[in-house]
Amino acid sequence: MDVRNVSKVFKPGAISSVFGKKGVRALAGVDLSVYRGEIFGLLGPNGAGKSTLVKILLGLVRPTSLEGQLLGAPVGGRRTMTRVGYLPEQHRFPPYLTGRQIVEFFSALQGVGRRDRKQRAAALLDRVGMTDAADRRVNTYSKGMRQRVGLAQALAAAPELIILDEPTDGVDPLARRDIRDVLLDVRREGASVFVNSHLLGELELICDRVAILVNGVVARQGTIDELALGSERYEIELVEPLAVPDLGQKLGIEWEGQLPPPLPDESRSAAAAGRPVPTLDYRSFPRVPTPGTGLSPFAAQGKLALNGDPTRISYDPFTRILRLESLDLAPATAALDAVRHAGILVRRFTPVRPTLEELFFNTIGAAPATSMQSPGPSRPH
Amino acid sequence: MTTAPEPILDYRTAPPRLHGPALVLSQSWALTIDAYRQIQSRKLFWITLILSTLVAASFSLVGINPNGLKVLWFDEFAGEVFNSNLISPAAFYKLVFLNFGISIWLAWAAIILALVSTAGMIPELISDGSIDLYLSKPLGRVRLLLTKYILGLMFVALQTVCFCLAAFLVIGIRGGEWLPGLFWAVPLVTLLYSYLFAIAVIIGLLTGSTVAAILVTLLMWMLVIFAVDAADQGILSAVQLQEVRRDSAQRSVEFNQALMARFGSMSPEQRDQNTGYKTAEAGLDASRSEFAAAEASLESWRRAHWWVLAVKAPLPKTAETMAVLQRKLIDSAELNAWRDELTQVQSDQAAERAAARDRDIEEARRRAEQSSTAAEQTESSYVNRSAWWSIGTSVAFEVVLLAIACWIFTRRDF
Repeated sequence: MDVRNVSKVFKPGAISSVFGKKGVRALAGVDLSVYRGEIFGLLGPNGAGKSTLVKILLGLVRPTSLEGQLLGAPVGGRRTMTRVGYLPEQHRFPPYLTGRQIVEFFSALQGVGRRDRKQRAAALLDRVGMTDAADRRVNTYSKGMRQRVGLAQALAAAPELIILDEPTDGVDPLARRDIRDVLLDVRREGASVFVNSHLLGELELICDRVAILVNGVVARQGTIDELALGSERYEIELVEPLAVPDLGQKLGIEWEGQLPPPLPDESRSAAAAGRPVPTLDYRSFPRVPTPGTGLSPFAAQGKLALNGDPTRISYDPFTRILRLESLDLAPATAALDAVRHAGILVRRFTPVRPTLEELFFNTIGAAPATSMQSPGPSRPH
Repeated sequence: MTTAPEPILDYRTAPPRLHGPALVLSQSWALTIDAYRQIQSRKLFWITLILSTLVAASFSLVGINPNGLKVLWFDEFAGEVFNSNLISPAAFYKLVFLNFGISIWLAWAAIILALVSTAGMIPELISDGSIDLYLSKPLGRVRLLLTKYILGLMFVALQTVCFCLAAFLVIGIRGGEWLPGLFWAVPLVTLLYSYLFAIAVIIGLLTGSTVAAILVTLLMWMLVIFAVDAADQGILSAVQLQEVRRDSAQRSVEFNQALMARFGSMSPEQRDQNTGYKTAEAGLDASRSEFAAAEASLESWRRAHWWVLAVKAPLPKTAETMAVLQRKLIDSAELNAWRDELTQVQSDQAAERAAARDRDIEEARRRAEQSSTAAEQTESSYVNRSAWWSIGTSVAFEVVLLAIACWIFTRRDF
């Protein structure tokens, strides 16, 4: 799939335009490439235009502009759609059909012959673990069962491209793992998978490449390694969970803002022993975890002066990790020396790639504001 | 879920995908089966079917013989109007089938139930999470909408087939009359429903609401289509009555002129003294006044009727479509003897009422007969309107509505 300059402006209705309502620009020139045999993840905040993009690729929404092709054929064309499988978000299968009838019905609409669709439905339902419930009506299914049947339905015509909208949203971890396994198998067989999801951890586990869509444009696109290039950090894991003030005193750290509460003794001993930490009353804490940083409420951020050159660091007594916000190895080794010189035992010193979640937050935080109106799920009909 | 190594897609043995007419046939068949399952899953379908069977079965309660009607084991009543000497059993059963089975049950109650059952088809189709599944398949939007529309009519077609079959068997077994003409009701009742369903489809498409589709269709049916039809029938009846009145006045003029001609040989003085001549002269004046009044009134009513027909022309004609069924089922000659008897009974009743009130009995009889003749002519004129008018303009309305619906459906972003 290779599409360029995909844009969409939802025009207001005739009556709304009389009252001065303007159109909503949902996509503002998206360029996207998905290669054969890869799992591609599309992520972005609500209202970024993900669903609109998916619907344009499937011919559900008419684009304002679009160049390029899908599987070497026109986007949304009927011949193209015989080769594309789709599982929508919040799908509503006919409640009077059984799981087997759903797979057979939609594969018939996709042009699979009668005998073949019966055989394939049986095999696919078995593959997604729905053989036992295949002949029950879909309105008796749980969310996870519906997603499994939906996945079987999307694969029924042996598509070359499978587009999945939030496939693991609202399903339990077991079903998530099963769905992931199926998608990895599909990739192994040479099909391309296009996943639109909010579950960044899920995407990180299976995606070869991702694109982050913000305000209707692709802010970043590539493999997770490519996106993380230049964003690695170094971490020093201590053996003992030192309190924030103690560590600051030993290393001469200048903490920023209000210091977090001390780790309760009970929690401290549990953390030191590697036992589960008792439940905490977060309402009593003055700070909340910084989104995407992976830091607990006990973490503090500040500056560590190394050879007169201050380096930004964060320390989390809960995980016993001192993280350096520097990409260079030199200040990191200098910090390690300082820690060891202070007599603090070190368990681990390692470079760390940022998580997809961190990359996502960094991207949407850094995304340039455009002049467009705020897009959103509600659009003029 | 197993982690079996078997390939999922297995492109080496992947099923060949259908193309062209084979794909269209496969999809249409799948949609038909789906619609059948959808209909079957609705309780209202089964309730309507049971009620239809009961209504058809109720025909077995009524019989007709030379002495009158027979209901259950209660013997002969209303024999002066209904007996097998005046109306044949076949014509009687066809009348019952038309006036109770079709007009009251199928063309009213069952159609409202069908509307409640099927009006949700389009709103359900276009709801989020459902339309995505359909439109992401190689299925043209126009074909999808029209296929769903035609399959929605299946509900009524199935109901009508069952009802007609039950009525056919009941009338055949109970009355000994086998009337295959009853099955004309299947295409005509389905056609009638198709006009209303077209309204439900476009409203469902515009609003996405089942309730709105049902309400607007019912309001359109009751307040517009029914009201305009009632106005048409009412004014047509007035036109026919004025025509009968005018013709009667015309005959009276001619009669009085002929009467006066008999006195042609008399001198004017002799005529002035002749009572017969003076009565004829007064009668002629009265008849001429009556004729002029009837002509003026007829002109006004005709003008009003023209306007009603102009309003009615683009609307679907539900009652007239059912009138086509009446025309198909019953030859008016079959009912001549019965109608004459009915007119006689009405005339006698009017005379009795006039006598009781000490009024002119002949005048009452004349008025009753005029009224009866006008009613007969109104019915004949209404029932015998051309199929192009009754069905053609209704289908044109339906086609326009469906064309607009297809245009909206193909252009809409989902």
